[in-house]
Amino acid sequence: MGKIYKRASAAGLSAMLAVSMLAGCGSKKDDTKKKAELNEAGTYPIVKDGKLDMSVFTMSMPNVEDFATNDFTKFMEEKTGIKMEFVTGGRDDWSDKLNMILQSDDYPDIIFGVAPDLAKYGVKEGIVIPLDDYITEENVPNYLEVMKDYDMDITRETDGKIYSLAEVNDCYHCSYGRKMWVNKHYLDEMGVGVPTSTDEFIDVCKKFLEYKSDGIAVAGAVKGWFSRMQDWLMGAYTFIPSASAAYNVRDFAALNTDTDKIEDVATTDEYKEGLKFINELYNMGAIYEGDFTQTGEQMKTLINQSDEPVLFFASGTISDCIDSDSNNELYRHYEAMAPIKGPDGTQIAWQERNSGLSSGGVCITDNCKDPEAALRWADFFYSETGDLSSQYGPDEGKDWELNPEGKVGMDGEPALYEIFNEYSAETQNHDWQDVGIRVAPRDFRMGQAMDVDVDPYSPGGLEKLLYDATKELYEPYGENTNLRNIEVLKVTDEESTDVSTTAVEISKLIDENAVAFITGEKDIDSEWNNYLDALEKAGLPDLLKTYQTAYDRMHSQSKE
Amino acid sequence: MKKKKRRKNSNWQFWAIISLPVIYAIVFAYIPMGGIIIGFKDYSIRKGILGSNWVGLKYFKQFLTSTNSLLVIKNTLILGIYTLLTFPVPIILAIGINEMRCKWYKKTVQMITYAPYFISVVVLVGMMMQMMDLRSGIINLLLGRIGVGPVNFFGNPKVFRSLYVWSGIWQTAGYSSIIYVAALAGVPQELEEAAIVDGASRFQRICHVDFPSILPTIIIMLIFSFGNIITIGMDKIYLMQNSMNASVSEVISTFVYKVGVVNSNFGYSTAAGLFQSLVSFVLLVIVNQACKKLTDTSLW
Amino acid sequence: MKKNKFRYMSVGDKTFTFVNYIFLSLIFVIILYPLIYVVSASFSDPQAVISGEVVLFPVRPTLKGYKAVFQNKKIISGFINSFFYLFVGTALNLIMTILCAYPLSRKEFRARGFLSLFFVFTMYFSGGMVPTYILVNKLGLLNTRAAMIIPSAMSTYNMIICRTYIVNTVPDELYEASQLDGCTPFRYLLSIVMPLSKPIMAVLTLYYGVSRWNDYFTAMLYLNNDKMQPLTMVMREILIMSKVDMTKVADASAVSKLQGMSDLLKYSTIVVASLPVMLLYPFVQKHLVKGVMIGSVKG
Repeated sequence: MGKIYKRASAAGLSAMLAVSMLAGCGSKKDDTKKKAELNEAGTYPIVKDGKLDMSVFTMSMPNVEDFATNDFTKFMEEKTGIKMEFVTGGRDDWSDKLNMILQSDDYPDIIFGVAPDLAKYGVKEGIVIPLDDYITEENVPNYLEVMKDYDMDITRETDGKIYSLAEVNDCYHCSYGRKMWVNKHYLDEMGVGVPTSTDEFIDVCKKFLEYKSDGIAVAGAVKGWFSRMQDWLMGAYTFIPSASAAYNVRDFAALNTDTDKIEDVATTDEYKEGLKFINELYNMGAIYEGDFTQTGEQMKTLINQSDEPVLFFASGTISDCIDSDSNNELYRHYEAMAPIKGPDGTQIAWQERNSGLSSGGVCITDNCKDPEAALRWADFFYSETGDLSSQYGPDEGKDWELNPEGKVGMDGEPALYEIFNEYSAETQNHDWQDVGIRVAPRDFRMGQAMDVDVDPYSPGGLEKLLYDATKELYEPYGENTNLRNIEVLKVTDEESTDVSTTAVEISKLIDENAVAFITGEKDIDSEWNNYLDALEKAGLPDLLKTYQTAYDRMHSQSKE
Repeated sequence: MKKKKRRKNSNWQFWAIISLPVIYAIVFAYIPMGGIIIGFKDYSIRKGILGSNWVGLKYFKQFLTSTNSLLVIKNTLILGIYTLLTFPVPIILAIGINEMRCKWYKKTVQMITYAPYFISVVVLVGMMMQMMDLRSGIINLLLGRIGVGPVNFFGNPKVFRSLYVWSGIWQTAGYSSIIYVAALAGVPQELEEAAIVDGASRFQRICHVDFPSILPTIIIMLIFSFGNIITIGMDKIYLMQNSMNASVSEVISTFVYKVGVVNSNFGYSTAAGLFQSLVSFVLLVIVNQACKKLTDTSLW
Repeated sequence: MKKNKFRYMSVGDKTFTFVNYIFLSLIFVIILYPLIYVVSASFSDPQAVISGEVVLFPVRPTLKGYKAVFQNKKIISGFINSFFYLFVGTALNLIMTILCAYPLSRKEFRARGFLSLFFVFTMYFSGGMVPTYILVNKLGLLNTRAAMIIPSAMSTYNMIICRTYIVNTVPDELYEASQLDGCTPFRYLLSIVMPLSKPIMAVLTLYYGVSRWNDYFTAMLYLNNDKMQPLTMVMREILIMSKVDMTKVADASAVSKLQGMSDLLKYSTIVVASLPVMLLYPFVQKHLVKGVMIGSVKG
């Protein structure tokens, strides 16, 4: 028996050593590939003779059948002379897969349309390379043209270098995404108007509960796109930021533009007053119990019930909750409403100010032999034809057309382009649909030819419905506050390690206490100080300090 | 003399037979196990595992000293022990099925009881939320008929634990009972017949013939169950969590997931995983040794 | 000997049987209801599913959900791939399991205790996803069908179940009798242990089979090529297609035509994905029969 033990443990140890060495010699690169010769900048094909092979990682979507054989892929290959090999991950899994891939040696040259953690893989590990030297007129003219209207410093990481090309996808109605929808049908039946202040809101709810005793005045959900009704109601008291840019948790940290300092909204008196207001609604029976536990799907079921119980519901778009196609009657009963005014006149619409600009559109890894060629390939997507071709197909005239005669865009201006081959609900192989990067600055998006007379409440009129609601009911109130979302925040890997648990704990504390105060489980006046103490003990000051350091650092970089 | 030689010979044959599984275990289990070291290092892909800086117990400390850690560990243990207590359910189910005379009913019951196992966790939780919905859920409607007010199953911390455990039983009882049914099928027929001849009633037969025969199987499964107390899977609880039940629903796996996702910090999640593994294994060893002393059956 | 007929049983036995049937029927109904719900919902009108109208029976029955599922181009390849992984994978599983369980079941095998610990240890300690991924990569298995089959070649848990079964059903006397006849361990395994293990092999076929059929994580991680996708991935894609990310869509009217059906699709995809494996059970059931041991020790 002893002999066997000895033999086995020896074998085991050597196996462990073997693998550590395997993993340890991870950085051996194949340096035998030659750099390709490129044609003059700005011309196609990009490569001088023959083909250049490259690999790219991107997110895949079910409506693209096969990237390798896709018409648009072939078009790009002929045009640029670069043959792409695709490594893909699904919509919900690409992040896990990308993390895996980057841990092994065998990762692709380009990461496209999605981005890994750049603090880790870029700044710390150098697996994603800095692009500063490659972003030139020669390599990326289209990109620079697009970025003229934007601040490129957003793509700088903590060490001041640029690790990715930015992506621009300006969804107008999304930048004012936190909306509330009201059942106008009921309001008309009861003979009241849409409430404009907190007092009116309370009155309307009261009346509704008398009118329909088993009705639900305010519906919301914990999981859904802008479905948290408490966030919207708070607009009458203070600004509620969206999830933190650094850690994607709801820590309620916001930037005070007057002082340039980062504060936590969940500790302010205004926030406290807002909670009291919602508590009042709750005691009245206007807030549905399920709002704190249900998912967006359950809220959808609620709204669609045959007795039409819901008066107000929170959602980024009405189409998430009611289907215009199958239930158009119910769909027409609801309309968007403007933020309500608080007792001291506060009336805030949540706004996202970075106009859809985000870093991490295109990254190049250190496996890539020809970064210039790769960037020139990517640059095509930043041209108007490029963006349209990748989404709708490369056949100009058949799939899309630039500057169509006599057509108008969504903003009423002459249309910049018209789409013939729209997104398909089924699997197709002609273009990439919405995979990859989108280059859609606001004017470009608004420039899509629209049917001006479309009925907003028809299935095809959704875009117009959202545009109108945003323009008339929300945009006027976007500037009523000196608080802003912290749109971009770059933290270093070390900083992350220190406060990542804190961020999660703070967000849990805020959330759980908010619910407790609203439902009355905790009395807000007597427990408020305990709540503030708990936040402090959990490390809120440290978290804010980390954010402040990162923010100041970003700003000193952009002043350079 | 002859016996010994035969023994020695046959041993090499056993080694030969088991060689393929052993190689498999070394390649696919023990080699990757080296990665556990990541939990003690500030892992840098560039430097590789050996080259990365040693940080010792930093991540363990981070994991164990966060404000939530005690609560999270407590929740995990409570849910684990509660689940353990439902251990007899598949056994009782199997015995019941075994005693059925009517063949087709027996087959149907078996097939239906193991079907829930196929339903993915996402759908299961979705169904549960729908059935227990405050307003339209069928369970609350039925409760309303007998005069009990609507119960906020997902919002009430007191109810959550039972909800979690019993929905788990719903999903796995039939599936787990299959192993006991197979074991019962192996009960020697002569023993059964002898008992009948002796005039034993059905109930007595179960206690004195069936049960002892499957006892070794039960013990092995029990040992495993103890080992699994602390490893509560993430998916189901994550889907069932919300701010109202968080005080009882936050467990080690979900908390680590939230922190890990936030940060792709492999060191942290490896350390937490290692902590869970250690505790489970220690429990396993203790229970196994106890069974070794008390009965004939044990894992090793 | 004739089976006991109900009317010949004692009172005690009668009550027992009665209670047993009631108990099992109760469980049957509790488990059955949600299953019926899933099937009914999958055949119902999408709006009815959304608004919670479906309770027990399909409301405004329609095949819309199934049409959407079967129209997907990848569904046939999904089925074929899943069946391939199921059969080849499970066959491999069974072979590995019995090769492992048999030696560990024999008391003469001196390394028995040590090796049992060797295997059980791997159940609790693992390097995690990343080292395994690196290993699979280095072995050149990425994006191959082998990656779906080999890394999961044996589950220690199932192996221990198999070992326990062999220990308890194949009596030692049999082994000693065979030894006198000059039987080697190899032959013993093939001619005696395996035939007697039919019930446990049936159980393991089911356990491994279900696990392989439902696995999507392995496919997500190691596969790239759509040609090799199993059914679970295809189903997942169908569900993804029905949920639209509003921030990415430029033209909201291009919002997926499937969006109204996303609730319905949930159920239709489950039925399509689960039915084949559920039907596996009756075949397996045949082998879970009593009285396998009759006649083996006599003589």
